[in-house]
Amino acid sequence: MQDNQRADSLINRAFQALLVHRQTTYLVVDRQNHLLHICGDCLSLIATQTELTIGKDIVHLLPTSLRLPVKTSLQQAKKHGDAKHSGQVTRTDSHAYSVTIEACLHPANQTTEEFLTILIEREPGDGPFVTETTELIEVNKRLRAEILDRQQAEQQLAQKAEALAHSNADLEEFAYVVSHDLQEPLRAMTAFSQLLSQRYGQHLDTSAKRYIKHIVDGGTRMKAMIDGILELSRINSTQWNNTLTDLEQALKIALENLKLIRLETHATVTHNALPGLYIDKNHIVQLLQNLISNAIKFRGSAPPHIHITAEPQARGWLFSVHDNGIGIPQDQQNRIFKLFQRLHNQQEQKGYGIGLAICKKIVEHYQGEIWLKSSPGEGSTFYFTLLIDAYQDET
Amino acid sequence: MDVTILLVEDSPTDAAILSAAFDDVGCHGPIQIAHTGDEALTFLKQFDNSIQAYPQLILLDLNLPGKTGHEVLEEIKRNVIWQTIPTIVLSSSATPNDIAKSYRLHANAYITKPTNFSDYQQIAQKIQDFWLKTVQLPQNL
Repeated sequence: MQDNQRADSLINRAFQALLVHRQTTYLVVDRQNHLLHICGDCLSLIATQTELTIGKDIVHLLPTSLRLPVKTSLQQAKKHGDAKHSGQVTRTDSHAYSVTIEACLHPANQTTEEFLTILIEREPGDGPFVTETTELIEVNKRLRAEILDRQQAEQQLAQKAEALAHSNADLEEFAYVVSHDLQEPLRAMTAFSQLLSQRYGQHLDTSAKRYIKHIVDGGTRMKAMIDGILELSRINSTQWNNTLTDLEQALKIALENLKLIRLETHATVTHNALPGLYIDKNHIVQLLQNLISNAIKFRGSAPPHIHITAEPQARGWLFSVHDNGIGIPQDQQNRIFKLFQRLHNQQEQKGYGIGLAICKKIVEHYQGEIWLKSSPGEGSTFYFTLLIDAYQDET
Repeated sequence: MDVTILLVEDSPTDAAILSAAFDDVGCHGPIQIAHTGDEALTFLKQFDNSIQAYPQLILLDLNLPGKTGHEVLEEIKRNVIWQTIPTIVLSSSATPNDIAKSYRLHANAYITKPTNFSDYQQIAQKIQDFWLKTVQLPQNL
């Protein structure tokens, strides 16, 4: 008896292995198509739990695509003893494969009543199902590893963002200290030199007065540089208030701010149609103003003429500011966006090398870029991009 | 002797520049200098039980050792008598936050310290013309 049981379970396991290997599902039903036994559902065709499905009509337990061929096979097998059909099974990942269905009638004998078997076998050449499962497991593993990697990367990114916020706060603190503490000794230098020349001027000779002028000039330059550092650091810390801004309006404000120097130099500024953008008004005014003021500052012998254009890109806008000024040699063009980089000595041109550094910061705030095309004697064209959509009229 | 201006300023240089500027524009009323916020408050307290008049004007630096200028301003503007003395913030900082906070604490004006002496003279002139000559101040001062 025990030997029999052992043999039964051995045969059972071997049968299961065969079904798996052949990618086959083997079902036993009665004459009313009621499921009696599932010998192996190696194609996962019966979706619900085994204990719930025993006794139910097999046709309704199968995927829709198999119902008709299985039903027909069973009908024919009941008449002729056996029948063979083919069908399609659609996997959950919407991949389909072909199967052959064989139904067979087993008449009653001394030990068993009449029953039918249904063999549903995956057709060869449709790819090994088992291998695909292993592949799927592999892919899953890789995906999990990737998710883990991404989570770690995100965490690192969050840490970096925090560190950056910290360093920004440090920078603001630094700017504040600079604004207070560096300016005090600077004021002492400048103001007392001036006081000296005012009150004791009659006792000083020309060179003494010239020395005092150098001290005062140096102090004034240093003050402008400190103000520049502050302005640059404040760009990061100030609130950016993006509102619908008509860039033609912004240009008007910039030109108004530059009225004096424009009139002095007989500068003309023309432009093509400019868009309305969701942008911080003050910063776009400053951007245009700095570029125009540079174009005027570095003018040639002819009165400065500046032309501004804007054209939409696939993403954002491309702007250009063209002038007829002295131009900039190729090898110096990269330097000019850096802080305090000046291409001319102080006698030639006023400027502290801050304006373009500020322009770069503003453009970068809008994920844009700034660059120029220029050669000496032929003027310069500054280009910048702003990755902002043009305002769509919502009303 | 009545003090006209209380200048709260820790930097002797800045104090000297401002004094010289006031001197130049012909404002010879005595200027009392306090080097810290506490010194300024102690100075104001001594008028509370005295027949001496309070200073007519307080010029207050923000960047002070110990109590900050903003804290001193807050204490001045919380005191029912001191709050009537015009208090002008005079600071190196042109930081929007510093300016806004000063006015929120009821500063009467905010002036950014210039670099050139001539600008100092101008400021001294304007302060004298407006705060010491034009405006009417309450009687208790």
